[in-house]
Amino acid sequence: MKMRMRTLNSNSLTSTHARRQPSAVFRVWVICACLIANHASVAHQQKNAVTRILFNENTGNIEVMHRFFIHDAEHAAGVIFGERQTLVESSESRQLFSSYVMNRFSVEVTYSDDSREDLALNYIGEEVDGQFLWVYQEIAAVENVASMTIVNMALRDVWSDQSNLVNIERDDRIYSLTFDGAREVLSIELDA
Amino acid sequence: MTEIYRIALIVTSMLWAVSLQAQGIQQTKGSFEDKFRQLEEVLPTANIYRNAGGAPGHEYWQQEVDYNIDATLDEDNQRLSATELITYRNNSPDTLTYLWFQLDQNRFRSDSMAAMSGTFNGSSPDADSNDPARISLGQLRSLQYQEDADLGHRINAVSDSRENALVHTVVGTLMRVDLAEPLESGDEVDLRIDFEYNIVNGDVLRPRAGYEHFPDDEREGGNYIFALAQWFPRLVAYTDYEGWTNKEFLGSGEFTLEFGDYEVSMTVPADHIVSATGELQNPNDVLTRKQRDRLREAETAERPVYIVTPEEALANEAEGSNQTATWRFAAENVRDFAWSSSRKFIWDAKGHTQPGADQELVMAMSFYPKEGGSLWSEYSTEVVIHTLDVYSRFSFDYPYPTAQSVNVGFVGGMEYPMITFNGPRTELQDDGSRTYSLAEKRFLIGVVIHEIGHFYFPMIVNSDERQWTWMDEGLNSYLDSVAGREWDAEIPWGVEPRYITDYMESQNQVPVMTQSDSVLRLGPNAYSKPATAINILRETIMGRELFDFAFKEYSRLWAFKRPTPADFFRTMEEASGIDLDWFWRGWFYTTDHVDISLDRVYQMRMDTEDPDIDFSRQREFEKSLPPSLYVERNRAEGLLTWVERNPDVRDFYDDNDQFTVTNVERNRYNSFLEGLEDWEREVLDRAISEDLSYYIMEFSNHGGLVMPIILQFDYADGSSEEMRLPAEIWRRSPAAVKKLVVTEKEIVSVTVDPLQETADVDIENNYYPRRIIPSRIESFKSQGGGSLVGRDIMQDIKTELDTDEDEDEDTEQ
Repeated sequence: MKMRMRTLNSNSLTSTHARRQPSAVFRVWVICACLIANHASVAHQQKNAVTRILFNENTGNIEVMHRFFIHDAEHAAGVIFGERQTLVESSESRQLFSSYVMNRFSVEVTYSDDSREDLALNYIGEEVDGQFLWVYQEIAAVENVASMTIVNMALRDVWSDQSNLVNIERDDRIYSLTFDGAREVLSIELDA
Repeated sequence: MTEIYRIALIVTSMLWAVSLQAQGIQQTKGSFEDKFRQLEEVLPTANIYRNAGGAPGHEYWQQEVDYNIDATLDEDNQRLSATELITYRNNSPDTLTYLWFQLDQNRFRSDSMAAMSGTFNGSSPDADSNDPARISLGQLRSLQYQEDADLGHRINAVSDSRENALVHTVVGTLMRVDLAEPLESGDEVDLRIDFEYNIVNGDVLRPRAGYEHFPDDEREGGNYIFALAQWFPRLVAYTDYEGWTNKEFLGSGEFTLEFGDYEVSMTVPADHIVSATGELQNPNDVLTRKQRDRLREAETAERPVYIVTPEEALANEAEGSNQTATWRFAAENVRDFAWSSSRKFIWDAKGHTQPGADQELVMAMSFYPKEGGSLWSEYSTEVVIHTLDVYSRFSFDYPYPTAQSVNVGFVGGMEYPMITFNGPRTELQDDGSRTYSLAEKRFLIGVVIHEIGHFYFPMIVNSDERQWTWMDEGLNSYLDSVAGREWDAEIPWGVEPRYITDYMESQNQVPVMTQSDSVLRLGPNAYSKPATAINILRETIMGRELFDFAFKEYSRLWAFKRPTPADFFRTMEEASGIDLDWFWRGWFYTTDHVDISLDRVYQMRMDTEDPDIDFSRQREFEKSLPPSLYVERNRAEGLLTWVERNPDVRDFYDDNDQFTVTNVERNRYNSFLEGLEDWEREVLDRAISEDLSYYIMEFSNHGGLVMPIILQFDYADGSSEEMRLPAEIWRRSPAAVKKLVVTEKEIVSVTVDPLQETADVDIENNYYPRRIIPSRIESFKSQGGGSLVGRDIMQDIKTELDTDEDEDEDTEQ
């Protein structure tokens, strides 16, 4: 079974390429699933996550591996789904959290001929490893990817100070994107 | 004209001189990079205040500031007003004409530099698709709150001991107070400041301290927990290395302060329980006889004893009081003072004894509302004691009479001397019980260890967190992982080197040696990466014995003093006898990562020079090569060669191949032996008799960070062996090195960093011969994890998401 994900702002994927000057007063949406505000200042909880996007030559797949601190994820899941979630104990909680992550993450590739495609990443699963919850997605590798445009809002709609690092690994090169502040959509050119 | 020309010339040459100095030593030919260049030009020059060994110099000084504060808490208006009397002793060699104060509450003003320089954390509107912008209700709430709440310190009066008003100038989160007359070295001055402020709503702004409201409590209007910190005008540290450390508080870099003695009186509602830095001075006034008896009992108890039981706290929070009570606390030689007050507090305590220490009895105490519940009663106080136990072993005896953990919901965790605020809570279930998840339990244990650990770093070893966050967060995260593993080895505490590799290979990062407010990704930069580095230093570079001695020496030298990074770097070298400049340079001053590759292994065997042996070995080698494919195929087809068809035609060469030894070679061998010196003969004989295997291994460094090369050899007989090559192997060629390895047994495979202790980011090139390293997803699938795909839960997942109006998802089979 495949699950095609389109995120809340998949539209903005394309718009980043041709954004006009605002000429009118724009609408503002308010996001309700929100714990807190700007100045979260804690000496311990580390609101950061890492996503690896690996062009895996051994399997011929593009693999997406999201890593979250379990404690962060558990609190976020409680807020998002409106009831208590226990990520270590409950596989249902973990899968619920995965579905949330996948809905806050999308990849659009631009091919060397300038055509574009939203990658329909397949859900693989999730697992607990140490302090971390990993969420896995993948898709058969596509050729001639010239650039990637990524949306990563996971936990960032819960905590505005959440920072998500994305490392793209292809041909022994590493490309990094950091989603923090107002950065919801980021693009990066990949070397040929 | 000439004059203008001359002046211009001087300016130009001055600029040139400055830039030359800033660049320091440079490699201007070739591309060689000296990864082992000593830090001499990077570290500040040693002086009489800080010596070249990293210890306080013979003229080391620091200021002393004593405070006497009278504070009144207005619960109904969440407001604090106070008078503070300050005695400032100038131990510096300098004359001071003004003093600087921190007014940290000013950070919350809507016009503060923190607020004005904060960037928008939402999305922009999109003209093309008519997408609206998004902003969270939380962000709107905090904007509205900061506009409405009238936050920040209000300074009502500043005067000297003769009640002369002193000129004071507020600069953001700082205030300069001009002294009536210059304060000479060795003199002291008394000041008085009257101030008040509205306490920050913790649920809105998530500050380090503020108030938490419980509107649903039985008492009309609900209840509050007040966490009061960074609450009084505090003297900015005046130092030998920076002068006044008067840098605006932007919210990220915390602070450093001066040590001094405190006497603080806190007038609060009479039914409140107060937890504070220091020791309670008037228990007879504010505690019942029963509570005092319980406190005495707790001193020697096996398990924490309730001073206020859950039932008493519940009754307490339902009522309220119109009376007030004044709690008096005193603390000696501390660098700050914080407190907490609430009628909701359950209070438990247990004595911790340190035999032979200056402070033999330490009261470990926890204060928490019913919302903290059994999670807190089970673990908080015990974890406090465990932390003191472990940290003291690695540094020095805990010098203070109390160590407290207070449950404040909006704080993740925050530390002050003798008191910490920690966030974890239980969940109220429908049946009225309170439970907590495994993750919450682990978080409580972890956060209490971490914050209590801060009592040592930086509350006693007084580094400046605003400049060098890693100095307390990194060192403390290292030690909290040590204490965590000693609490329960089954709990994953992190700080394993492999957890930091994704961060270290990423392109978006800054060196650890970056001022706190400018750091990108503070968590990995100031906590995990330095903590991982210190762990690696201990376990892999220095070894536990040398590391622990040096770290303890650093802690001892700088307890109640003010270390800088150079002092830490120098002490660790000085006490261990190990040159670590390359390590500090690589891990703290650059953004290099570790990726060592074993590119090639050559196997060799020593020639004996004896033709009767060597020639037959060569014959064997020749035989071991695969035969000609074409000849084999001819044979398979049954083709006979001319020689095979004409066996009667033979000569000498049919019986003697090219490896046949004649006396020409034997004579040459004998004269070779005769030509050898005695020692040469011995070496040759031994090498021949041992007949060892010789391997040349070629390594390259892809990450840039030089590290030891840790090797595991797997032998043909199934055994294996480890070899550790020090990082210094890279000193003359940091990009690639070769090593000759001699073994008795034949090697079949080699692994670099087999236990993954160096944070090497690419494991695949650690193997020779190469092996395919499955990715996480591949491993996950091979363990059957992939079978989760397609379960019915997928349907449930989609159903849940439909309730979220922000999303647009579709599914295809």
